Amino acid sequence: MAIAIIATGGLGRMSTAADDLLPSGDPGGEVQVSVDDDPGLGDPNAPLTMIEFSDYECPFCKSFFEETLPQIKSAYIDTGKLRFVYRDLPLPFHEPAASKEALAANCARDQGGDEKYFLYHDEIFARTASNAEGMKPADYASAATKIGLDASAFNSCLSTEKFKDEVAADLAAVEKLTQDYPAVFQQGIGTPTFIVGKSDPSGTFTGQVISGAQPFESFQQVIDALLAD
Amino acid sequence: MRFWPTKLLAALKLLLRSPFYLILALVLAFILFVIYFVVNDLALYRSAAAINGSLPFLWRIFTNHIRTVWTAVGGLHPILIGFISALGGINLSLIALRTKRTGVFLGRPGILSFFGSLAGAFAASCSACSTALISLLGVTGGLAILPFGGLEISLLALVILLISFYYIAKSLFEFGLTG
Repeated sequence: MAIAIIATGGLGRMSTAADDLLPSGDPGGEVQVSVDDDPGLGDPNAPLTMIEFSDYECPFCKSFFEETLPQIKSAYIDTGKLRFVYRDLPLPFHEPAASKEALAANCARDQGGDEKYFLYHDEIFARTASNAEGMKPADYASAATKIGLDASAFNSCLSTEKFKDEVAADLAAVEKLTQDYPAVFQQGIGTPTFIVGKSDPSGTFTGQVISGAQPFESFQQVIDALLAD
Repeated sequence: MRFWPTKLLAALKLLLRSPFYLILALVLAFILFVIYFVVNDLALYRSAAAINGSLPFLWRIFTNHIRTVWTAVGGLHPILIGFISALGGINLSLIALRTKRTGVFLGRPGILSFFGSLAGAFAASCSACSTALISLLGVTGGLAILPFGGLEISLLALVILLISFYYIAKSLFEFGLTG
């Protein structure tokens, strides 16, 4: 028994050691973040805003897209309570597919605004196998055609990487968040990461961080509390 | 080595005949399973605890975590973690049983069990990309950068724990605890 306790105590120490490697702080702490000029879904005047930092090649982002986002959409976005903003965080180990898909979605937005952006966003998540496998080369144009974009203009936009700076700006915003809030983002910012707070006309708001692909209930509790506040 | 399957079976039978140590094995396996997932996604659990610190809610987060890993990266991951936890629990319980009945403390099986269990901790997946425990070792990208997404660590942990189990079974036999 003593050995079992020692051994499990070892695991306990491992957990503590992991904590020791990290600065202390409030993981659910609030952070200030900007929606920048990124695409949004829902009423621009909604009382709440939720930003998702996401990677099109992240399987957990795909899981959020498939399971949780539809519930959030019907309960809060479609009812005008929440505006959902998508910001890019293509992770290095999902490249080059992650950035290419982020660029492609921005090219869709270039032609048809936020509505086309999110239609293309849906196409990417529906078509990609995730984990850096990406969409098939032919899928980029076929998805664009399917949602009614001009394929030629879309291909030109994608091949010239017209929105490279836009994606880079999102990555810079993430970098700044980790520097400004080291206690909140102790392990860095993974994908998906969400920040939910009360909307501000300036586009910069203070919100609560929800880390990882959590179930709908997590979002529900945070959003309902903010709405009731 | 000639009769090792018999020794392993005998060790398992000994555990099944000892209710206290059987329950201990089950409890330890469960604890290991929970630890493996939680330490790999501290950000998730800290974030969830900040939303609602109640145990039923955190349990819901935990079950959703496993389900998300299952659907996002495949069922093999959680299944292997389950095997590692079970084997870790069995080994630790058998070591405890041996210590109680013989007074022999730790030794090679205990050390191997510890390292096997430790390796298992690095093999579990998180529900966000790039925040796994392995990232703390400076491996940017966590398990996703490994060719088999961390299954290689799971297999390493299983092999270490199986070797440990063999030594435990052998020592139980040598001490006359199994027939």
